[in-house]
Amino acid sequence: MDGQGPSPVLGSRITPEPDVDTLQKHSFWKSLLHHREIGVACALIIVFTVFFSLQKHFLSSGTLGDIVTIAAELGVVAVGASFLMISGEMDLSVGSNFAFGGMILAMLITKQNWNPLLAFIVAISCSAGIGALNGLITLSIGIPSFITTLGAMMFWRGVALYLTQGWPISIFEDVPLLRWLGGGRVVATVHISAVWWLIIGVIFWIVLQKTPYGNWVFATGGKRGAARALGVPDVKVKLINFTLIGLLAGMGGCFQLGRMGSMSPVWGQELALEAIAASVIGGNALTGGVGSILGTMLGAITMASIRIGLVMIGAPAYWYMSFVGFIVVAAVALNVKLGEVISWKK
Amino acid sequence: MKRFIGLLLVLSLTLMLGGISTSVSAADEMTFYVIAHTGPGDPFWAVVQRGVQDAGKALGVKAIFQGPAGYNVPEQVNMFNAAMEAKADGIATSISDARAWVAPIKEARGRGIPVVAINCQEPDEYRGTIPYMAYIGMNEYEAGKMVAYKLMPKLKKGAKAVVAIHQAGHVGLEARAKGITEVLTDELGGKVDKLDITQDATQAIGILRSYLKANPDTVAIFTVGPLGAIPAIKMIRDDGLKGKILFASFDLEPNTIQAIKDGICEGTVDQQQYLQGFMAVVELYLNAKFKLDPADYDTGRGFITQETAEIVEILVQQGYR
Repeated sequence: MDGQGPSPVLGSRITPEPDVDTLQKHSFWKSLLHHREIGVACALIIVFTVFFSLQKHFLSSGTLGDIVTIAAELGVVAVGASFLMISGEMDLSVGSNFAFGGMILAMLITKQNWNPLLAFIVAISCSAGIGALNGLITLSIGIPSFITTLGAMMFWRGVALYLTQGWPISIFEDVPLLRWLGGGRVVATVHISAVWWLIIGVIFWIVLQKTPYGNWVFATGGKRGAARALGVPDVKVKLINFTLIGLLAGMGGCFQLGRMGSMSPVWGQELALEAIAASVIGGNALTGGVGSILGTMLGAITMASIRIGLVMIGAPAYWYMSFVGFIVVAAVALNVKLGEVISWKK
Repeated sequence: MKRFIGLLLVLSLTLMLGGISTSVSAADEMTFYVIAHTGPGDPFWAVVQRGVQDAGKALGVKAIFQGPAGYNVPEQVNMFNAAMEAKADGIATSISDARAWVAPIKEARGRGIPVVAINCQEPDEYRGTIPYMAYIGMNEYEAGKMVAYKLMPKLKKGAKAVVAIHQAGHVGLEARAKGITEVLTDELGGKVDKLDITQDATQAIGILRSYLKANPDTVAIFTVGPLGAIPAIKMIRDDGLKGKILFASFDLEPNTIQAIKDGICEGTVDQQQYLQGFMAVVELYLNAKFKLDPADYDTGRGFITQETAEIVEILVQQGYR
């Protein structure tokens, strides 16, 4: 929202002199419209209404549990993607990093007989390291993160395939840690990974909204020159965010390993674009500087709802892509239009 | 402009939902799901989908085929869970991972939803850990035995044969090889060697050629899939071995069918995946309707020879094979 003025044509259409009542209503709507989550909230309501009208079992606790469980594995990565996106960068390698993190955990437990907790710490550290490496290459050489992480996406997928020779790794023994990561259930069909996702979401929301670091993230992605002049350590911020998304991608992989008991080097292939889509649906600008963690989380829930809903109404599986594509454009269009309305009302 | 865009959005949403709602029907109709680890974008699974849809039409029930765009087990599990929440009257799924399917299928059976497996099963050492009711697909070991029996009339007692494996250690391929080897040694007193020819076509030709040089008494070659058949066919053509050596393989693939038509290949085993879709719906329907327990169904009984190659080729184009 760079303060675009109202178009004269639009401005002239509005009736002047509203009474007090409408003014109050206006201020309510105005405050509502200021939230970037409004677009995704509308999308989510539409998606739920449509699916519920076509399939009466859609609003059951079982379905909702499935939705948040799927949303958790995607959403934990999407939260990282949003953080990085707000600071003006993107990471296409999250899908590979997701599989890599899960693979490392599975391999250390089955092949090396490591203590599961230690293996988990090592696995997510590896993923964080991959993220940090992406950041170091991008920032020190000055190539766009799109290119760095595109290369990383292929490279780490290849390494994961090499390490496993293409075979999935399964853990048949009862490992309590796997239950704690995603195998166990909290209530109905809600897996424990959804709780971890909620906790991670709240932490990142607090960091983004309530701490100086959050301000730095927004400033780095917004107007970098101005941020630098004000003493914001923009390079450091970006490097930290690259590391964080790596860490979260690895965690996502471990959650999925927990739920499935298996990890294949080819899983998570569409994850990068799905995470970006969840962020964008949630009101994050691809160009950086604006965004919301709550919006991202709702975006992930929207996408998981579409996935589950389409199967439940028996629509061909390929509608998923069309539907997500439609929602991405519609939600962003709504946000842009609302942005115009708000700046005009100012 | 704004109105136009708004109109366009509403219109496209209506069209999309219109398209979807035509596939949504009455609530009291029986609904069956067949969920695969790959969707109908893969020609193999498009045939399975056709079987599912045809069975649905024939029985007057709603039969839905679903699968992720690419090979993706977690997504397949998610789809299975969604089918469960939709209160399906029965679900068929491919056992694409021996570990990941334990919990979902236990859950479905616990909720009283019948489940059958199609296309692939868990490896032998884990057999019985996943509580599906029946398996509808090719039995790899039996298919190996079948192809050996088919060629036996043309082989003398004590004949020497070679089974070329392009992916050593692959459970399914090893089972095919085991079936061939057992029949030829037990019934014919033959000598059967197993040869790792790798997945690289050039290497495979070299390995096969040097094997035949070292073992000139070899009278039959078996390959266990297209990746082995393609180099073997090329070698037979290049070295003029047609009529001097018997050759048979597995799976339908244009090179193999052409070789059958040319008389280079005796035949190939077809796993008839149309049956995997069709029979899954039929068995689940009969279970829902008459409580008939689903039974294992070996779809891998198809053997394509010179007589049937042409008609099968047409059926492949029509999407039934």
